[in-house]
Amino acid sequence: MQFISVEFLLFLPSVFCAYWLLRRWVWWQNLFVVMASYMFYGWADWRYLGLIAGYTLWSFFSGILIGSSGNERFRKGVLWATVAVNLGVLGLYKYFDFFVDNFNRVFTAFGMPLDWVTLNLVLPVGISFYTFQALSYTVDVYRNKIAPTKDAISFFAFLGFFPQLVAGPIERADTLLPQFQRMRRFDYVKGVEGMKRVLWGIFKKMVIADNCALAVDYIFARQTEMDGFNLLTGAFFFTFQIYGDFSGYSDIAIGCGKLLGIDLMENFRFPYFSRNIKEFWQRWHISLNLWLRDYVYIPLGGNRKGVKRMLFNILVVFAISGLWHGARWTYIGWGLYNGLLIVGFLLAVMLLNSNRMAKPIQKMWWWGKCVAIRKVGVALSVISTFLAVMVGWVVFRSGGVQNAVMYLKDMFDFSVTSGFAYSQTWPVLCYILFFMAVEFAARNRRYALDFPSAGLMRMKIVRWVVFWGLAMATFLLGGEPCSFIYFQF
Amino acid sequence: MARFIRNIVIFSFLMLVGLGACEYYARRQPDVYSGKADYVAVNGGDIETLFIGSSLTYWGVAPNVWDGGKAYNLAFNGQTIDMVYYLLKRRMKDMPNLERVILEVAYFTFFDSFFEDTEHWAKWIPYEVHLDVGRHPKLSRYGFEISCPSIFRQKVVPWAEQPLENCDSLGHADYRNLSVRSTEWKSSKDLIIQSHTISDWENVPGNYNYFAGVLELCRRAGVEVIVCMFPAHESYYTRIDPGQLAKMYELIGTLKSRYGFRFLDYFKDARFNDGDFFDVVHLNNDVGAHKFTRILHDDIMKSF
Repeated sequence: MQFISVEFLLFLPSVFCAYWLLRRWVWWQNLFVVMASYMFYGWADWRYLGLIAGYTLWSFFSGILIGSSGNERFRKGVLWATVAVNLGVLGLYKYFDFFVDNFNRVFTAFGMPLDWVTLNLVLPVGISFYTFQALSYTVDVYRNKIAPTKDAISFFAFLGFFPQLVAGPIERADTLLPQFQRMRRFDYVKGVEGMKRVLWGIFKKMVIADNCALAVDYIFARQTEMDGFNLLTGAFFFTFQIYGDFSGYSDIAIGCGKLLGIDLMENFRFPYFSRNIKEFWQRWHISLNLWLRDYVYIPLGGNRKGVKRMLFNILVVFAISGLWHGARWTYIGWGLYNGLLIVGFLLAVMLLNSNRMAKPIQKMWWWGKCVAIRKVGVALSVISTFLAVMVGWVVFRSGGVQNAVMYLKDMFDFSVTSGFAYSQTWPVLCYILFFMAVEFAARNRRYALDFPSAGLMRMKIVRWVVFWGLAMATFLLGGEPCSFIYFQF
Repeated sequence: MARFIRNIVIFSFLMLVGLGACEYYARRQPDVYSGKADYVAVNGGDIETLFIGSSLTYWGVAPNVWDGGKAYNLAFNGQTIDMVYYLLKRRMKDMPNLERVILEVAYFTFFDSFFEDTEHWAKWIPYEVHLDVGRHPKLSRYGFEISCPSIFRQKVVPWAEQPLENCDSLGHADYRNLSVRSTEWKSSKDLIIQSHTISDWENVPGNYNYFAGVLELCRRAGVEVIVCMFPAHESYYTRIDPGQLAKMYELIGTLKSRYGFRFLDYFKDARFNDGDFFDVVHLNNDVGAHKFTRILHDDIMKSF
């Protein structure tokens, strides 16, 4: 089921009412969450319900086995078996064809054609998200970070909670599972926040992402005919399409969770106002990046084994991050590109902090004293970070590595042979401008519609007019509805 | 909880008021569907020759140059053969003097998805609202214009998407003229061919039955049917899938032997050149459509 659909419009209020009617019986409430979540997941295709149920059971029992045993070898064996099965299933669905195809190509190039067949399996929606969530639980139990749960229904609710099931945030057992194990009470403030998050999420998806999608599809489909100016416009629009799409989904997920009294983790914190690439990755897809930090980067040695190893670990983590998005070279290229940006940034910081550079910089201390210069500096660093990220999104969006290279090459010739090729460019730019103005005003708060308690927004009527206006604008200005990009991951 | 639900109810009510106002406003804005419905309802008795089909007909036939008048273009953009069938079934009785139907067949006609099965099912809504042709089991039965965002937004938010399409008094599109044609008009050929070439032929039997249904409707009403294949640009017909094209001709041959209609094929007609097209498959409204309508008229009339 899609968040932006008539079905969900009926589903959410029904779930909300039934859920809170069961508020005195936690077990039944959790059972209801599981049933509702499986209905949500199986709405379009029920065949993969068995897969997610199997994942859940497997992780549940492996957690119990690991937690109840004192034998380290046994615990480790169960851990590796669980990791192997989870990643094996993910690999089968997501990466098998990719690797077979590439092996076939390489061997054919050397005159040794292989006859390996591809499976052409349909990727189950959200498999990458719930696989990682299940893995984190097993590893945390193994590390004795959390005790294994023996409450199967809570565990099913934890792994299958419908708002975040298909596109995250990737939750951790130590924060989400306890919420299912205790009695929930409806909190008015939390409920209102949930509605505001849902409203803003839908606005981001329908007005920003869907309108940008039309422009992006138009420009990328005709990339060979476009001048550099229009290619730049296409890259700019995709930068907002993917942000509006994915952060919009996360906002709706967090909002739905709050309506049910469940706090999900933040997944985005106004990433396009980041002043450097490192900060960007601390604000973008936070749940995945924290997952990769805790379960890949730190086990690889993190920053404990010297600078070279740390930089290598960063590149590995970003390559995995790219591969996580899908079995395509463009995703891996996008991951490595971002890894290289981070490595470059860290090297630059190290160089500036070194003794050789520190003194000349200290001599320029007066720079920091001037507010205007400081603000210009911040603005320039935000813009340069944004542009660097935008280049990466071109690679991410392109149909192949060759297309990406051609796109970037043509984009950077900065040629202007005509005006905007896409006829609705100006309206979409205006939507983006409004969107960024709201996000800019809210950049130091928790979320975009978290209005300050002072000023005009203190008045209820003003807030209601704003919410009503946003809801109507979403309806009136939304683009052709299209599926969430991250559903395919 | 009570306070929260009360606020949600009030907010939903305000939203309904807003949407109701939008619906009211949209209903009062003319569009091609309401325009054609009104014409058929009021002047249906005057129509002797009816052109029907998809955008090829909608853009490519100009009834005002049809000698003797009394011709009307009842085609719409994206109108598939199932929609043609339901439209004729519902509206034919409003045209008591109808003598002939000129029915379009195209490379994609027998292979298209049915409208109710596609993600564009909401396009049925104007058929329900204005033409009284309800078919889709989902929301269209309620007939809200606001449930068809692509058309609704064109009326309420003119800057948001393509401007509202319009047609002349005889149903011919009049916004795709040569003067507004892109200089790169041939460059979209691959996209167009891709959208018209359907690898999955599962809809062929269904589309064949709808086509036969149209012929049967006309036969029962005593209306002559002339099936017409529209001209296409060379860059289109040299690149399309020959297998799909051959299958189309085969199906037309089968139907022809069963119903005995006249089939006029202009698909690769060399009389049409670059100046007649708007893109590689559509004639432009001012030059190409007029030229084609005259040729079609002469070919039909000379055989009498």
